[in-house]
Amino acid sequence: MKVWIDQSRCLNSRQCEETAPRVFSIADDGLAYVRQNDRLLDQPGGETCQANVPDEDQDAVDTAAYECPGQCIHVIEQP
Amino acid sequence: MSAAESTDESIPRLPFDQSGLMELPPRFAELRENDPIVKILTPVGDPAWLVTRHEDVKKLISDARLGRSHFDPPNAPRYSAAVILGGPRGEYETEVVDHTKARQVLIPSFSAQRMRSLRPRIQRTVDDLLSRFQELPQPADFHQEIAKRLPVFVISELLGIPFADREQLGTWSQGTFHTSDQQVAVTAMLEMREYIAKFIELKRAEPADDVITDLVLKQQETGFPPDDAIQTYVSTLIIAGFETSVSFTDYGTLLFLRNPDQRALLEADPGLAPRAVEEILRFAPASDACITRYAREDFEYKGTRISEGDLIALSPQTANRDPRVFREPERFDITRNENPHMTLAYGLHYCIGAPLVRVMLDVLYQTLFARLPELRLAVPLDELVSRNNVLTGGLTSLPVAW
Ligand code: HEM
Ligand code: SF4
Repeated sequence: MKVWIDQSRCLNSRQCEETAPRVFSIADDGLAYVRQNDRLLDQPGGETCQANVPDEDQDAVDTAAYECPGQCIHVIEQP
Repeated sequence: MSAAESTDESIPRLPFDQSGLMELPPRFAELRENDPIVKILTPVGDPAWLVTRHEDVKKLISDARLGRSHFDPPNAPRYSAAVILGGPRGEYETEVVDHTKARQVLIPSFSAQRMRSLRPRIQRTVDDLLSRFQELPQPADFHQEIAKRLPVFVISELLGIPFADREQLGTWSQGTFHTSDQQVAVTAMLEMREYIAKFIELKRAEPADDVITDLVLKQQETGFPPDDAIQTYVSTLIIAGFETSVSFTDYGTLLFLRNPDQRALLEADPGLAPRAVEEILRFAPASDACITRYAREDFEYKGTRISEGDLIALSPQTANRDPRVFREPERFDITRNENPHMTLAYGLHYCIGAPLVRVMLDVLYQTLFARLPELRLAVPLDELVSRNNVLTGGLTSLPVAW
């Protein structure tokens, strides 16, 4: 599973960070980014930065995407 | 149902007695601890389920079994006489689709990214307001001069409404929240819609960099939203944005004036402002009004049987002080690093104006005490009066000196 955030619709709710802290972070610039291996993918963020989601975080990422107020967390299921 | 029919003494009735301007009525916390989902009567005497724990408020705010419309609007239980938030809203059959579409078109205009780019303009507005304020004879009214102006200025600029009309819009939006006089509210709403209709025409002829233009362009590209939906969206934005922000601007300042230790922390490190804003949103007893929903089906929630059409009143303020989630919940503490308050709702109903509120209050509190280091309350606390006839609460005035 891969995941990315469309920042043009993010409402800065911090919900994703609360629900799946290993996968999402709000950076100092106030925008939401995905993380991979404990590293923030903020160069530049958005669709070009897709994080691989470890198995144990997949349920939390699904929940975060479902509840995301901006509906801007995009999950890509991989075969 | 009229208030006179609801005479059962054993059922708690809103509003609960307030013990002080800076407190939440203590009955809320009692119920949260002892009776977290309880039958109550609303301020107009209609029955409702009051929900007070964080876990339940969070779950039910965005629960798909609940909505804001009702299958029988004229007979639906009401929270208050206010036109907006007072009773059911929207079409029962199409609510979910309508709501999703509305958020879809509105969100890009209010995203965190977009608001970040507006920050310099908001800083200029704050600077101008404070410069004018400093020239006034002391004491001056922070409520009238700053809290009532800043959000109205920022939001109208964003929407694309001319400077000269902003005060009129403020008056209308306050009118729509009127809880004691339905006619005031209805008239305000109609006048506001007519006013917005004129701007839709104007932006069509002369597009500009603002939200009404965004919506008009979207309509030209995709056929959606039609004019009457744009009128509804823009009036909702004005109503949802103006008065709530005014109340939190008043209370944010009052909280700092009453908590000198927290103010000193902020003055020493303005970088704490974003956390301080979250804490103001969590803690300010700006209003005790609930977020309301109607059950769209019969269901059981934690042992309580809820029937289709029942009114459910969620208290974000009580949830925000739930000791199961917040350490020392009754303390105003601007250094909290986790602050999952419910003030801006949750999930698919989360406040669309949240990024704007955050930037606006962040800029204000990074600037206010730097510009006015001697700012202080000019009257005793017990002389301040809360706006009881306005659903979003707030203060009638906040006299300060500096
Ligand atoms: C401190 C100020 C504010 C507070 C406390 C606040 C709070 C809320 C809450 C609790 C909701 C959810 C209502 C519900 O689910 O029934 C909401 C929704 C909304 N807010 Fe705000 N709000 C504030 C400022 C603003 C501003 C400045 C705007 C925009 C200009 C705005 C626009 C909206 C809109 C459009 C909705 C409807 C979202 C929906 O229906 O899904 N709000 N707000
Ligand atoms: S949950 Fe969605 S809207 Fe909220 S911060 Fe995360 S990406 Fe943004």
